[in-house]
Amino acid sequence: MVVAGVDVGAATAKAVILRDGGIAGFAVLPTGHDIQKIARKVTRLALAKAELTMADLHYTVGTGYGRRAIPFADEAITEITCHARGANWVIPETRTIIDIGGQDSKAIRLDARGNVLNFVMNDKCAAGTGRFFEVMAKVLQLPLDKFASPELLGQHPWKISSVCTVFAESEVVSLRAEKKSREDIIAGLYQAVASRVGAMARTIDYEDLVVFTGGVAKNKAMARALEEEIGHKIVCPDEPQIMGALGAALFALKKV
Amino acid sequence: MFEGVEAYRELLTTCDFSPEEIDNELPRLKKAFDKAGLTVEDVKRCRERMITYFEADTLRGARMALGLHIRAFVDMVMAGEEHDVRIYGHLPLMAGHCVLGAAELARPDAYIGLPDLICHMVLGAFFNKLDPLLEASEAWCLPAGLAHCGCSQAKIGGRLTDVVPPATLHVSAGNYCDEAPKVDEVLAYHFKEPVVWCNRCQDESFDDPPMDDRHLKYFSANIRRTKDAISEAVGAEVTNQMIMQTMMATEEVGKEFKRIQDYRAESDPSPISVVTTDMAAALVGIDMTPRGLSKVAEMMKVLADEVQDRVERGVGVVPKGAPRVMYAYVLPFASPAVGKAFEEAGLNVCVREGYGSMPIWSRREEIAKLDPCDIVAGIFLHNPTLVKPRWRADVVVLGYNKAKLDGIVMLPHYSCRVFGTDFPMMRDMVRKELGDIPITVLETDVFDPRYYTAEQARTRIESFSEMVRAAKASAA
Repeated sequence: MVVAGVDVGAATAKAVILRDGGIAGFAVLPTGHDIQKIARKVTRLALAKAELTMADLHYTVGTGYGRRAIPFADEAITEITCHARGANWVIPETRTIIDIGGQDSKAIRLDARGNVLNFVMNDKCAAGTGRFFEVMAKVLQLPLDKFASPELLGQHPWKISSVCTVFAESEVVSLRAEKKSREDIIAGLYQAVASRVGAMARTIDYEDLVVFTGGVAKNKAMARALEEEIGHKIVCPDEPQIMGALGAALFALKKV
Repeated sequence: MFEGVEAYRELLTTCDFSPEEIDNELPRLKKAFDKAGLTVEDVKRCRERMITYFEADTLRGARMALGLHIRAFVDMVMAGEEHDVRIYGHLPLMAGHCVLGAAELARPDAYIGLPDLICHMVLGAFFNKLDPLLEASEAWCLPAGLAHCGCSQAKIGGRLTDVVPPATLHVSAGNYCDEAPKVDEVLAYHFKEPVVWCNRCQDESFDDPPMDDRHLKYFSANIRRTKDAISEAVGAEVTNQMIMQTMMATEEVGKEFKRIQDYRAESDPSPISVVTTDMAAALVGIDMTPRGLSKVAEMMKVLADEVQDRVERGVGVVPKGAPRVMYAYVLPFASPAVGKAFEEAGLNVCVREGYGSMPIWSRREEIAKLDPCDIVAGIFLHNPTLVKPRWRADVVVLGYNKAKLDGIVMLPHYSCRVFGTDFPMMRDMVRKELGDIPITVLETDVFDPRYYTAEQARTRIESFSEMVRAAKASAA
C-alpha cells in the first residue's frame, strides 16, 4: 500500500511516500510560484527515490499553505494537525512542537496520540520566521547556509529588535556601519528570533519533550538559542523539514 | 435618471425596498452614495456581498436588516441637509444608548446616530470600502501603525471626508475605553463641535461586587449630566419617561433576538449564519431611537420566524453534527469573511459570549423603583462582557455548559486595549473551570480589516476545527 503526504509551504514543498507503513522516500524542493507544478514534481521525485510512480499512489493528503491547490490530493489537512502527527510518529514522547518555517512559526501542544491540544501561530509577521534569516543573511552578505554556521556565532550578542524584520534590518545596517563584529550581530539575531518564538510558545504552556521542526530546525545555532531562551531541552528530528508531509502521509495511510 | 440606475434598483430590491420605496428613496440614496464615493461598480459588488455573506437570497429578515443598515447610512450622510440638530454617539456607547435614543422623543426632527458603526457596517461589511476613511484619519491625526482604534478612525475619517456631517453634540463613551473620549477631544478641537463625556470610574478590581455603590453613583451622575447636555443640544428636555420608553423599545427587539439566539444554541443543524445574525444584531446599536427600534423589532420578528421555520424543516447553514463553538465576544464588523471562514471550516458558531447569563430585565421589579439613569448605569455595570474579565470568564463557562459546546474561539482585537488585554486572563480562568477544552485565540480586529484577512486566518481556523473534531472523537 503506497500513500503520499505533500506539504506545500511558503518556501519549500515536501513529499513523503509511505509504503507498507514505512518511509519509502521523501523529497524537498523550493516552492516557486506554481503550486500545482511543484506539488507534482516533488511527489514524483519522492516516488522515484522509492522506485515508484504516481500510478502507484493509493491516497494522498495535502497540507501546508498550498494544500487546497494540490490537484491530485484526495484530502487537505492543515499543517498544524499534520506536524503533530508526524512528530508523534518519529518521537512518540513529543508533547510540544516548535516549528519555524519559511514564512511562519508555530508552537503546538499535543497528547500521547499526536492529537493537537493547543496551538499558537505567528503568520502575520516575518519576525521569528525563516524569512527573517533570509533578510538578515542578505544584509550581512552571507549565503544562508553560511549564516547558520556555528563558527560564525559571536560570544557577545548584540540586542536586536525581535518585533519587526524591517526594524531589525535597520539595526543591523547601523551596527554594520559602526563596524560591530558580524559574529556578534549574528548571535544577536538568533537571540531575537528565539525571544520572539519563545514568547509565543509560552502562551501554550509547553511541556517536555519539546521537538523543533521546520526548515529552520536544521540550524543548530538556532536550536541552541531557543533552548537557552525557553529553558527546556530541545530535540531535533533527523529530517525536521518533512514532519508536516510525514503527518499528512500518516493520515493518508489511515484512509486506505 | 442616471447611469447604472438598474444596479441601484437591484440593490434596493435585495434590501427589501418596495418598488414605491425605491422610486422615493433613489435620489437621496444616489446623492448619499456619490458623496461617499460609491460607484455603480461598488453597488454591484455590494449586492453580491449581501448574497454571499448575509443570506440575502434566502431570508427576508436578512434583506430587511440590510435595508435598515442602508437607510441608516443614507440618513446619516444626508443629515447635514435634512436635520438642523445632529447628535452622535460613539461606539462603544453602551450606557448612553437609551438616553441618546430618547432624544428623538424630545426633538422628533433631530438626527440621532452612531456614525462609526454605520460606516463600519455599510462602507466596511457591505461595500468593502472603509479604507479611505481610515486612511483619511491616519493622514491627519491618528497615524498608521500606532494601534489606534479603527472605530475612532472611521468617525474622524468620516468627518474629514464629509461622509459624516458636522455634529451639534458628540456623546462620548468615556465609560468603556480611553481611545473614544480622546478622539472626541480631537473632534472638539479641530471641528469646534461640542462633546459631552459620559464617564465611569474604571478603578475596580476583578472581584469587586457588581453593584458597588460608589461606581454606580458616579456613573449614574455622569449619565444624568449627559442627559442634560443632550436636552440642551436638542432644545427640549429628555425626560425620565422618555428614557424608560426607549428602554422598553430596546426590550422588544431583545425578545425577538433572544428567540434567534436560542434557536441557534439549541438546534442542529444551525439554522442561520453567525454572520447574518451579527449583522442584524448590530442594528440595535444603529437604530437606537424608539422609532428606529420599532422597525428593528419588526425585522427581528420576521427573521426569528424564518429561523423557526428552518429549524422545523431541519435546514441548516453547516452540516448536522458539526462541532459547536462559542465566540467571545465580537466577530469583525467590517470583514464578514472571517465569520464565514469558521462555517466553511465546518464549525457551528452557535453561541456568543453572554449566552445563558441572566438578563437585567429579570429583575424588573427591583429596578422599576429606580431612576432611569441609575438603571442604565446598573445595566452597564451588570454586563460582564463590558466590565470585567472575571465575570466574562464566569459567563463564558456558564454559556459553554448550558449550550453543551465543543470549543471556544476567543477574538482579541488588535488596536483595542480593552478587548486586547482581557483574553489571556479569561483563557486561564476558563481553563481552570473547564479543563483542557479546545480554545483558540484568533487575533483580529473588529474595526479595521487591513490588519487581518480571512485567508490569512484560514489555516488557524481549520486547525482549530480539526482540533475540536479530534477532541470530540476522543471523548466519544
